[in-house]
Amino acid sequence: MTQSSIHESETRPLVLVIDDSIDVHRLLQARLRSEPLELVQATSGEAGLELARDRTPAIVLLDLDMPEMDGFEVLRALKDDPRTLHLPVIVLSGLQSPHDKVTAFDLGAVDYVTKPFDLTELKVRVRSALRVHQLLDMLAKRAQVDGLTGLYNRAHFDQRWPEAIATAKRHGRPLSIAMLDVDHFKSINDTYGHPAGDAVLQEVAEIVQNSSRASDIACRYGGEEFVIVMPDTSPEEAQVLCDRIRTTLEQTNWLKHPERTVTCCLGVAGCDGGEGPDSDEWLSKADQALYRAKTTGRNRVETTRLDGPQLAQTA
Amino acid sequence: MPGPHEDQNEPHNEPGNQSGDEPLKSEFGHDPEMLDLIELFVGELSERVSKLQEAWESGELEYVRMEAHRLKGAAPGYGFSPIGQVAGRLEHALTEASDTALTARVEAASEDFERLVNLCGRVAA
Repeated sequence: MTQSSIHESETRPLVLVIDDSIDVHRLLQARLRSEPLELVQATSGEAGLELARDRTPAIVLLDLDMPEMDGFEVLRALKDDPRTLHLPVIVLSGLQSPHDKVTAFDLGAVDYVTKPFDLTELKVRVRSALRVHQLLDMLAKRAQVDGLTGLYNRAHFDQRWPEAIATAKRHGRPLSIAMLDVDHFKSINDTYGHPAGDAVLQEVAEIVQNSSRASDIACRYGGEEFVIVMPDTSPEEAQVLCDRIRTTLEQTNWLKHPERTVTCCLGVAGCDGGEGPDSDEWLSKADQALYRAKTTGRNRVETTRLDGPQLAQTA
Repeated sequence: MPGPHEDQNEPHNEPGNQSGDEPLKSEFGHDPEMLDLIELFVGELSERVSKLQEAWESGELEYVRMEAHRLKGAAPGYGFSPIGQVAGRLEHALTEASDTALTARVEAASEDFERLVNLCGRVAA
């Protein structure tokens, strides 16, 4: 992901309405038509929970007094599920006692609008909740991005890498990971200065990003190290991609220092069938492969197959 | 479960108390955005009232309470505030009397039920 891609998307935010009254759905559909949002509707608590989990709306408008599963139960279930825990919920209810309002806020609602609702008031409350949601979303995304390169940062990698392994194991799919380290980076900094070193890191990040597929997760791991998680990719395929990164960097012309050549090493570890060790050990295997590449001449790719014979390195 | 309702203290000379035969028109009758919706609401109302009466006569007061709750929330949105007010009173009466015997609940809510049926019978698109 690059810096430019972390800006809010142009898609309309999804607003989930959970209310057993078909009238309320009709009225909201008509009255919110002019707002830049998309409505999705559920007429029971159970159906609403399912939609909240599947569609991940920007906000939820929730009725309290519904037959069978009432709004309080829905609110509890939303807050008990990590997938829906952070969804902002505006209660939209005919229940007007202070006790109901306190309970709703204690359970995690962000706002409470009483029925019959004034449509103008509801519109501005929805707008306000969407604004807050978008700002929080943007902050959350920025917290996952490396400021210098625009790639995802280490925190994002730490979260996504175990998830990628779990997904690969669950579906029996291939998975590979590559660690990249810029050769002699310290001497680049010492010779040309830190701004030049930063430019190298930015160029490497761009090459990594351009070489990766949309499903890959490219991160700056720290310093001059990068890591690429490649779902649905065998070690052989990962080696091809990594070698493309290696040669692209090697052939890069540096406008300010045309005499300079920058190279890198990559260590790959992967397997085919959804097997493999845990996340730490898997990463350690990639790191060991990277170390082999460093100690056997640099400007190389070394690959470890975790479920079969070792692959030959490329240089 | 719903807590006690504390917003139902309108005096009984509110519009819902009005009797008579004059048509009840929507407050949003001049809003082009709402015309189709009002027509839909009015068109479905007689069937809703029939079901409400059946439930009332067979003592299914929880159905009556839920439908009153829905009308309280929705009718003002279509521009029929008096229906919303009376539906709110009916819901309140049934909730307040929820621990009492069926006959006592019916007695407590019958006046508001009759008002609601009367008002619903007078709506016009």
